[in-house]
Amino acid sequence: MKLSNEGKTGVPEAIALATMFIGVDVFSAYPARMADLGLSAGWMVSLVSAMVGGLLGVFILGSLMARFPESSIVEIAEEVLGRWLGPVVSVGYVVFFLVLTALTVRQYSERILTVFLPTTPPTAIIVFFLFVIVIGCYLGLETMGRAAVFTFPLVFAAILLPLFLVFPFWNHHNLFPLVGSGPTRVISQGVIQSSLYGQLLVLAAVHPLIRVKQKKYRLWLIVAALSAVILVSASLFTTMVFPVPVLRENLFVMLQAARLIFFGRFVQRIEPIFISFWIIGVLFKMMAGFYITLTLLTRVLKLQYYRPFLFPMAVITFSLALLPPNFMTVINLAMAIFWDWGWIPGFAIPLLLLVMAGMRGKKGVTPGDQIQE
Amino acid sequence: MAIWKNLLQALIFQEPKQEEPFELKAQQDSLVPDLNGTGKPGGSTVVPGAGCTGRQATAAGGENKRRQMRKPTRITKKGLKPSQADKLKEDELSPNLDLNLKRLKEILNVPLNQDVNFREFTIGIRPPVRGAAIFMEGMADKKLQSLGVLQPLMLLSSLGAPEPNRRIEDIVTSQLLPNNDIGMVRGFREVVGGIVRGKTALLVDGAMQAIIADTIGGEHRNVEQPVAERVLRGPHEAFNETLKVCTALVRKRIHSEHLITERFKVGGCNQLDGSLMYIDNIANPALVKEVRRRLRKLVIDVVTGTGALEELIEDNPFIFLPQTQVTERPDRVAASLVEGRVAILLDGTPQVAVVPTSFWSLLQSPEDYYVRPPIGSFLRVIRLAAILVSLLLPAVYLAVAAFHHEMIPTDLLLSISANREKVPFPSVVEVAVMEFSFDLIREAGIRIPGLIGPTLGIVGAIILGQAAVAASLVSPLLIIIVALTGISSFAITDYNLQNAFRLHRFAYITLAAIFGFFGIAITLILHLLVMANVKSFGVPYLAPVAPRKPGELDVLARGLAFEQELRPPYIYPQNVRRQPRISRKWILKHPKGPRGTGGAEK
Repeated sequence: MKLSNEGKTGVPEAIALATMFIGVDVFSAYPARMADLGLSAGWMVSLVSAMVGGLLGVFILGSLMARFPESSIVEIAEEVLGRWLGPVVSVGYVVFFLVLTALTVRQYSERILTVFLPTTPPTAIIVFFLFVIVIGCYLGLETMGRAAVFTFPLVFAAILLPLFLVFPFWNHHNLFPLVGSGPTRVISQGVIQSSLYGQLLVLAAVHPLIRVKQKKYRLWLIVAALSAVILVSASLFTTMVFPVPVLRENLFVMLQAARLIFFGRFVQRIEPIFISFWIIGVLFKMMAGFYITLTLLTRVLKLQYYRPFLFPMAVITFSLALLPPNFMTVINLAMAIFWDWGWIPGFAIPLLLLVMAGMRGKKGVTPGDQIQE
Repeated sequence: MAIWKNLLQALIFQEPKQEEPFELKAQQDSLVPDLNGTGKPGGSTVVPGAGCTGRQATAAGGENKRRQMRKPTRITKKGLKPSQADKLKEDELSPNLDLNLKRLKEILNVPLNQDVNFREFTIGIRPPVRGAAIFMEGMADKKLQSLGVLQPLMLLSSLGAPEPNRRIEDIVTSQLLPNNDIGMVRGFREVVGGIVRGKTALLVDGAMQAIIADTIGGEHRNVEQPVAERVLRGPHEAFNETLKVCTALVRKRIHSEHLITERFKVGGCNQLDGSLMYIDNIANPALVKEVRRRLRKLVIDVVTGTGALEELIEDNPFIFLPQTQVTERPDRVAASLVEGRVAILLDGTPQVAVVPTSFWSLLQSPEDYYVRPPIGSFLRVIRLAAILVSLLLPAVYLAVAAFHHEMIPTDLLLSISANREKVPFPSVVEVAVMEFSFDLIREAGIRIPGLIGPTLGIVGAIILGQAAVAASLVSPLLIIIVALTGISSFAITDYNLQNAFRLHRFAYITLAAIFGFFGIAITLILHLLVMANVKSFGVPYLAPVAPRKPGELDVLARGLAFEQELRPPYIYPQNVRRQPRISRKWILKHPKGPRGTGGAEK
């Protein structure tokens, strides 16, 4: 099913959008969380989670999408689970993405408050975020994808550059003891934290709109690898810069790292430039999340247009974003939902769908079949 | 005497004379068509697109008798037998010269309209035949008319014997008239159409057709140097206001039979001539068809030039960004045509619109290709930097000054704040005032008469600036910033793009004043979304960067001429490949040997 004014997007656009969607989690408490779990081996936890999560995502979601190349998760659920159970699962996904968007909006507006604009009321920033999100979603995935592919190199550079520019502060002693909290814990926590890569779902949501279908797993591998590069290097280099006790307490490690950049008296405190690009990256995450919420909801309700939902859903997101009483609740919620339990929507349900589809012999229409119809 | 009279009038009341002052009122039967073009009840219907050319259809009910169309039959059919009269269609010429002349005078409003010349003469063949030349004063080339049309018909025609058994119009065109561009038309509409464009219409007694000789002349500018797109290296020719000259300037650069020039007319009232140029084995037929379709479907009263035409045919007329590339350089048009684009030329406009375009083409200058490749790339980077500076510099200054002092090194911060200490305004007001006055100087500078212009520019820029600093109204740093912004804005090649970014800058300034760098980031992404959403004739504005298209990216780095093997793939030309993989065959010393076996023939 194709919605109106939904548009199509290309492979580079999808990769840029999905990588930013997953990668911008470095600005959240990600490095601190990794250090918390793995101590000096936080980067190993990150690496293990990238490998496990990436592979799970690639194989489960990739196979599912290869089986149903022209359908979104909503149609797959209905096809596989039937008319009653399918929509229930789909509504679950709608709620998942809605909560994700709301929590992201709230979390980053709080971060901008603390960093940039301490006297601004948070609602002002949330409203501005939502303004951009609504405009982006109104213009559609095609436009969003193009803007994403344009900014992706800049955002990618703005994430990695500060990590390298603080090389005078790199201290390899911070990486020892090498296995940190112990091999068992590193690996087990790595497996649990792989839930983050359940956000590869974004690609599954966008997948039916990609113009040229590539080889089965290639797209997913590229996205998983690029996100892993961002997340693991962030974890590794921040561990090298900050000792573990400092690192695990810090909620905005990337900012701290960017603040440290110092090359003579002129090149210092240049973090606002980086933050501008980070905001752009984060906005793409919000836009994509909101867009997926809208389109999934439209599909669940079997409607033709998603644009009428723009303002109602923006208002709902606004209220949801203001629900948590404080920043810490937001972070704890986000960690619990997306990092600890993200494997349920990310891997478990798609795996269930895949297995059921295999058992019941369901298969999606391929583009060729559709033309023949 | 007059003073005395005026004084008297002022002192002594006199009854005013019964003079009704002139007031422009709507005519009783004026044509005010509503949106459907059906007109008021009782008024006559305006045929959409007919404009002022007199092709007004009568009202359906025929209620308005005064303004009905003058039917051509009134005169042309007079004096003919009913059987002959029936054969003539309404608009067609009759064989009778006098009737035709009468009718033409009627159409051209001759006693009223004194621009039209009717020159009657006798063609000196045996037996002599009467004829008449009709043309517009000043539009036609006098010398060409006298020597090339009238002289051969009146004087030289008696020299040879006409071939027997031929129609008189054939004799005139094939034996007598040496003019190189001649058309035969049957209808008054075409005759009049030719006359108003400066051609000479020849009516010959006994001929059913009129001969239209191309004598278009009149005053026009020579081919001169470009005004806005000067280069140091490369050709210095620019288009002028004559359509024929413009098309010829393009054709001078593409000697190919595949270069097509289609003629079209726009504007219901002014019936402006235009040309559509493309290379038919390169340009995408769908693109040509779409441009043609958009031009033909225009129902508009008047089109004054390419600037006005642009907004009529582009996809998003509401946004600031230009979606056609407007250039006054024939070499640039030629280069675009070879890439598979389409050029739209209009008579009377020295600028040519090239579609489709993209942001990156607007960034390029023809000079990039006339200088050495690395320098060309450098110029492009400079121009991109100019765009960024002109968009962001005042906004960044505001953000840093108001929100992020920590970014400025301490010494600089101290000197800035020392300078700003005496300034009573917040920096937003300062920036707004300075930007406003800069735009004021810029706008006034265009209108100030030639000799004073530069003087006032200097006065405005230096003296006013100095005085403002001395009076502690603005800080000196801000003067530098505004000046730098202005200079950068002029470094952008495309004039429309300059203006677009000039306006976008205010959005950045506003949001930076409210939110600092956060505001700049928000504006950047909104700006980017808008740019990504725009399409110029179906081609994404940011292509080939976003969306990414495979092929050579002639975006910032200007590739070597022999490396640019593909035409821009995002405009989907008919054959993408320009040249083989190895263009410089001379590098293959041994064409049969191991070096030359590979892709040489590819």
